[in-house]
Amino acid sequence: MTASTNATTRVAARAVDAVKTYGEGDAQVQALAGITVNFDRGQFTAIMGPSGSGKSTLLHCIAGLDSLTSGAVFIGDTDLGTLNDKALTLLRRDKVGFIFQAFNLIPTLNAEENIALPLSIAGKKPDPEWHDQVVGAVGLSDRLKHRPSELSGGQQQRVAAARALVSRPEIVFADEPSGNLDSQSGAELLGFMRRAVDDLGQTIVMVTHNPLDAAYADKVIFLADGQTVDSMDNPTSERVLDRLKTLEA
Amino acid sequence: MFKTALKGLSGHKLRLFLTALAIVVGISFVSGTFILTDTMRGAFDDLFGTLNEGIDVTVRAEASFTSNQQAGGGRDRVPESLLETVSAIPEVGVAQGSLAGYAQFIDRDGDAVTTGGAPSIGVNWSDTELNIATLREGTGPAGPGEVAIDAGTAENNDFRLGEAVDILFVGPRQTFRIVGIFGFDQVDSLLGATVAAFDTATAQQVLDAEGQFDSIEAAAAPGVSQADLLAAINATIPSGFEAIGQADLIAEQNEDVNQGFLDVFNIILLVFAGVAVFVGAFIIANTFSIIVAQRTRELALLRAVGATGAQVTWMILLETLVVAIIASIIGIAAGAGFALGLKGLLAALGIELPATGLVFKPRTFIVGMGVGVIVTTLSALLPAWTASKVPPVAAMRDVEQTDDLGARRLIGGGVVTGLGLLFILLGLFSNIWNELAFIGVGALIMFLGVAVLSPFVAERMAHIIGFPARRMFGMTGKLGRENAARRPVRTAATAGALMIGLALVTLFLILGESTKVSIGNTIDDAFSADFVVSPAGGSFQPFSPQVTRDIEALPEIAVAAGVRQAEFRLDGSNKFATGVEIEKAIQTTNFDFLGGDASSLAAGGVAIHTDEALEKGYVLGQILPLEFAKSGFQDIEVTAIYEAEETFVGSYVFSTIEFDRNFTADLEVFSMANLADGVDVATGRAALDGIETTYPNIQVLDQAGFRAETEANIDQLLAIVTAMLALALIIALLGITNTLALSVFERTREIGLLRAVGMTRRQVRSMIRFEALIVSIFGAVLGIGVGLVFGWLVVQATGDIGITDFALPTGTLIFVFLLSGLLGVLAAGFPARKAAKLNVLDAIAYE
Repeated sequence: MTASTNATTRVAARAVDAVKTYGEGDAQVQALAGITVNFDRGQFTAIMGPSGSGKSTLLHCIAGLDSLTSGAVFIGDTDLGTLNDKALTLLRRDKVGFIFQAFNLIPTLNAEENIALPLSIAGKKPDPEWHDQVVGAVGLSDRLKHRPSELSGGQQQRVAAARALVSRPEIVFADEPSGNLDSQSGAELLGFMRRAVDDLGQTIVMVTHNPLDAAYADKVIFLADGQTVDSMDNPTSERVLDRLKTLEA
Repeated sequence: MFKTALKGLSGHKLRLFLTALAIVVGISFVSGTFILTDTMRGAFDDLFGTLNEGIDVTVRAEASFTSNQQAGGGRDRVPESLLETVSAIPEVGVAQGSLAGYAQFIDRDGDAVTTGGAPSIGVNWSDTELNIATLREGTGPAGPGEVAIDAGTAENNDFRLGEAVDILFVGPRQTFRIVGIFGFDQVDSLLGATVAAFDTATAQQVLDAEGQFDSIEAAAAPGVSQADLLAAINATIPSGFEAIGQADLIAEQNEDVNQGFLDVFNIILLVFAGVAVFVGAFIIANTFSIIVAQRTRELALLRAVGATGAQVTWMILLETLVVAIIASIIGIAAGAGFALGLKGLLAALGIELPATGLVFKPRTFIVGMGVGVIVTTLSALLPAWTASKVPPVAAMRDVEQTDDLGARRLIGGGVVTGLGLLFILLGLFSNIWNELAFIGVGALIMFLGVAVLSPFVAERMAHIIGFPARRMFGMTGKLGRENAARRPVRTAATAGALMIGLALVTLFLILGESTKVSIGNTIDDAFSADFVVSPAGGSFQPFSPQVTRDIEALPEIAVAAGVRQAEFRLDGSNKFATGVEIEKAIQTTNFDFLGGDASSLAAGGVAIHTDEALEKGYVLGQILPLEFAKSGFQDIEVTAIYEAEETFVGSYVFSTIEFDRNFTADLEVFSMANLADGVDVATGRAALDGIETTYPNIQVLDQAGFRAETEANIDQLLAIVTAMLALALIIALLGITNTLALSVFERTREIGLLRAVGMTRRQVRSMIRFEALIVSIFGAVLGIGVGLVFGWLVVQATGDIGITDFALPTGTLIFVFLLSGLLGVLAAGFPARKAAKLNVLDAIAYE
């Protein structure tokens, strides 16, 4: 993939001088210390960094789940800082997909209903062709009527991935998506995410601490102490691991 | 462990606050009841103290049995000469004769002055120091045409000194000039009674007691003890009379009030309080089991670090105890406000209670605390026991909890429900010793049984009830529906609390409607009188027989028959006697004589309803030993056996001669009149309007009007009962709030996820409201269903007291059903807002 080098690619989301501080006075912690970063459309970006580097905070702020102390974040051309709760909610519903580490699914809904959740909250129905394509891609066609409690951890995360994609969001955010999975299931999930970018043209931003996962991305952004310290195109797990070691040292 | 328990409490303030609220409300009802009745007892105690102030001994006619004076079971009067006899005794310092009887004022607008329960009396004015009244203005009444009135009545009706006022008596209405206004020490009136005082001769004349007093009161001469006075009087008075000391008399009067009315009032209120507490117990049990479930990890951790199962149980019980004690104290204090509220409610419904400071006895505290602590602890026993069963390994697990519905629940619930039904059937259809207790206990047991069984249908019912929500409101409707269905035990318990109140409301609505229809049918089918005369304005103040005589004197009226009622005693129990002029009554009422006839009854003796005669084995010609307050034991022959459709006829009918011989009751409770031949209802009505003007204390109704009036009375009674049950419903709604708040807490992550993927706050609120709507409608379905069963059974069992037709108040029940849903949605307000306000990030990051 050479998308990152293509200057004409439009930016799907970006942060400009993003600052996020928690607490006050002596107890003040700066989670984001003025980050400026672009996430290109059609690209799979991984965010990595040691614990406390601010990678989850960055994801939450760009995804409209949390607000910045100063600076700005954009999804497409929309400045999230200008939106009220209702508008942010609708933006998440219509333009963003989420895959969390765990508890991705509503236990009272079956897999199919969970996949369609953002659409049905909006009172819409999935485009059947696209729906079948997504469901086929995650390999869940025979599991659609099962409830989450009847699915394995890997299957649950793939349902979550399908849900994130089914509304054709502008961008998908994944927070440690394989964190609770065994390596086999994790590899299947990441493989699916990779195909979503390659075959379906999806934009994905993923926070992870696993170099094996990062290797599926087009680009890795390294954070430390609330700032971007490096980036790496076409990563491999070995290179990522080496880079992380120097960061943590 | 105690410390851990307290920490556990402070960590869950909100849930415990809501639980405590259920206890507070129930206990405030209990303590409010005691405060109110104690206050009333105190007021009566004060009244009797006032009435007997300065009097050492009272002399009166002997009676082996007395009942409430107003029920016509009063003692015979004493001859005027007895006053001279008593006065002549050397130990007597001063003596007076006193007399009281019916005297009702007519106000400036020509309406009768009503009291809302207190008596309207005329008395003789005593010039001795024993007179309890003190003149505020003017002079005492000193001759015919003069009256002194109490300051309360003067104030309320703007009666002024020197003014003329009309007064109704048993005899004709008369006009008097107000010459004096009096109070009782500092008090304006005696618990709202209206008092008209005349000089003794006038009083004897207007109260129809020529040459008589009710009793003689005496005070001891200086230096004479009360005991000596009593002994001296007893030695002097002829047989047939008795003397009683002041303290004994006050005690006797108090006992009459307590047994006659206050005890019954107390028990009725306590029954409703009991229902509220029972519903509260449901809520407590449910809340604690949810809390225990939510604390599984914490409890497992305690077990893992070495706490025994018993210690965990004790910890939960200790928490319960602390909540129970605090909530009970608040509830007892709130009871004072509740007592005032209840008094206000009753006053609004026309039942005015004496107004004095609230009386708070230690007993109120002990009972309130006892009930609060015991009920709460019992309710928490099962959850506490469940807590001890949490295995240590559960600390490591994180699984979605589900409700298991096993065969044991099915069998247990079935057995309990059956047992409850058996008790109810025994109470209703057998001659068991305490029918009401059996029915009540049976109903409670059945509620428990249905609550145990209802989880089996909860999931399906939630899906059925929630179907329209799913259809019409998409994902929010669907999620609300699924949430209501996912924990059947919790949903059923929450709905079950609502079921109890609604089942009772339904039962009473059915009883009310069935009674209305039954009475209506009786009036339409069997009522032969064209007009009914009854006390005006829903008061129960009997009226003068002169009314009936005046009506009969109208040319438009063929016949009018008055009905008097009084109590007597037979085989150790009090019975109601009906007194009529039988030759007239057979024209206005459908008497069907099976043995004897009107003329045999007119000659004397008693007529007995065939049902009563069959049940007790009384036969025509049998001599029965009846016991009367006025005449003592009398051997009275059964001179007729009858059947009558009209329930007001009662089971024992006396004709005038026999009635007057044995009862003091000289007023009529109602009377009936028939039109003369060829006179239409409208013409008769116009003539009777004149009677209503002369006697503003009565109203004359035609059949349709009487039916409407009867129905209005039943509706009023229903309104009181429903208001009493409202508290149980409010507690049940608190339960819905509580369960939802706990569920929202439990589903923090889930709600956070929904918000993250785009559910708006408004949609979150709707989702919670749908769940509440489904739970409350489920409760309404259960409640109305159980209520229908109760209602049908009770109507089947009460045919003999006049409820013959089972009737459904369909419109009202639909209203109750819809209202339950609406209230359920309102109850969801707080948890819905709480859920909508959840911080998305906190929710998804929640551990």
